[in-house]
Amino acid sequence: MKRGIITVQFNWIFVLVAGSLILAGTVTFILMNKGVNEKQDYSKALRGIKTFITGAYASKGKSLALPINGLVMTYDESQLRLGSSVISEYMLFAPHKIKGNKLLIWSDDFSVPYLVTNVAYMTTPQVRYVFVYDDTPLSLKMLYGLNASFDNRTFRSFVKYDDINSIEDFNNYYVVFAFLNTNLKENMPGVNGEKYGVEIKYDDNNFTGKVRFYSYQSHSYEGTSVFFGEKMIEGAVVSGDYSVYNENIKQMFERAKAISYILRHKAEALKSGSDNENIQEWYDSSAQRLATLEGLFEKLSVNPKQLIVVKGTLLQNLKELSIQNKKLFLKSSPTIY
Amino acid sequence: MKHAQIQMFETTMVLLIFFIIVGFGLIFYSNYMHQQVEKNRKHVEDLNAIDVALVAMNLPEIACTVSSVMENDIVIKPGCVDMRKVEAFSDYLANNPEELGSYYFDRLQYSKIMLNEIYPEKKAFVVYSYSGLKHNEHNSSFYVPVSMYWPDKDTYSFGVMEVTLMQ
Repeated sequence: MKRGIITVQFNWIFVLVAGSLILAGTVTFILMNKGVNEKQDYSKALRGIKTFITGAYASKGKSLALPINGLVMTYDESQLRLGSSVISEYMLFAPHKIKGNKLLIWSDDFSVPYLVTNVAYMTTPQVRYVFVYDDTPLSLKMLYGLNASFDNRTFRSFVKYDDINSIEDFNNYYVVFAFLNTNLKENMPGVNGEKYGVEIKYDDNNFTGKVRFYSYQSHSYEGTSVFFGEKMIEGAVVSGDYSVYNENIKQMFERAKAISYILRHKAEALKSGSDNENIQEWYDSSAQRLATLEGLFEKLSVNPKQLIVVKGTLLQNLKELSIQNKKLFLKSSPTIY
Repeated sequence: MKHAQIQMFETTMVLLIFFIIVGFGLIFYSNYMHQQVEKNRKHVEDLNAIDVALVAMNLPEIACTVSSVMENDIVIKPGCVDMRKVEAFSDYLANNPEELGSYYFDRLQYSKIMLNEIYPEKKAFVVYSYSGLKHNEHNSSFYVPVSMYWPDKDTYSFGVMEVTLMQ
């Protein structure tokens, strides 16, 4: 072979090798950048959700919607997770699996009557809530209360207890049947998806009561708990999950204990700062009630079912405290809360 | 030197210069990316500090509340902290240290929250402080003006809430 031909061939081989190296380098660089960008997008999404929850949690009456484009999150043991990343450790009433196109979150306050904490509720429009009611005043009271406090963008259906078998299926991945002061129906064949039943029944005082959680997958009751006020009823329905609900209400009672402690100390400070004997007595009596409430809430934070035993004393002390606070307000004295 | 060798040398030099230019490009690009990452990190740290300040300002444990007797509705008064509650809260945390590392840590993270009274007196109050094992390498501070309410005297002072987040 002539030398000139060898040179030309060698040049071509050289160019091919060098070109392949450059191409491989460029492709690697693009792929690396793609990976970095994906990680950035992921962390931006996490950051967005976290800020979103903090915002909702910080103040009551907030209602927000955030596009999540099919992200699947889980909520368990007070941790909201996206894959292996923990997004938030806030107390949230949410289904244990959250997926869909939009994340809905709204917040409210838990007051007893003093403000204890803000609570946030989280779900997606792909979760269906079926409110099962009857014509009794307590069932209707619960229905109106829940409908008013639920976010408008949630998927809610209303069905009378007698018409429950005619309910239509909309292929939701998660369905919660809320039996509002009615008996839970253990068979719901017409609707597909992960199905849960929540039976909520008032006690005689119409403020406290029992909640039973049923899984249509395992055909068994997951647990029985209690509620104290409408915010807990709403939480039970939004989550539809016994463990999420029970852990959250324990935390709510724990907060109530902490706030009772703080207000008791405030009442004692206000008493020593006042020179009017009557008013001093009101502060003193309020501090005593708050000490009792602190003990009761501590019991409830360990075992919420104790509410059945202590509800009378609890409601009485809260009522008396509320009266003292009103008296102080009307006398233009600093209030306890 | 033969003609072919000169050509080879020429080609090698061209490629060498090309790779040197690409190398420089990569160095500049990685420096730029590093700056961007640092900028983003600072931005996230600032956002975290704002989040913590937002949570702290709205904690029922320290916030002033306004009650409406007729409607029985209690709301947080924005930008106001009740100093008697602040004292009781510090006392509560001292008596319940386990809550520092659990409930309050989830909300306030590794941070120090101070209330600095500016007028009429100059005083400082520590609301919350939890540093864990952090060595304060990257601190982000955020300041929020607040009214400090003294319920027993029914007076207000002016101050600043200083939230220092240890990252």
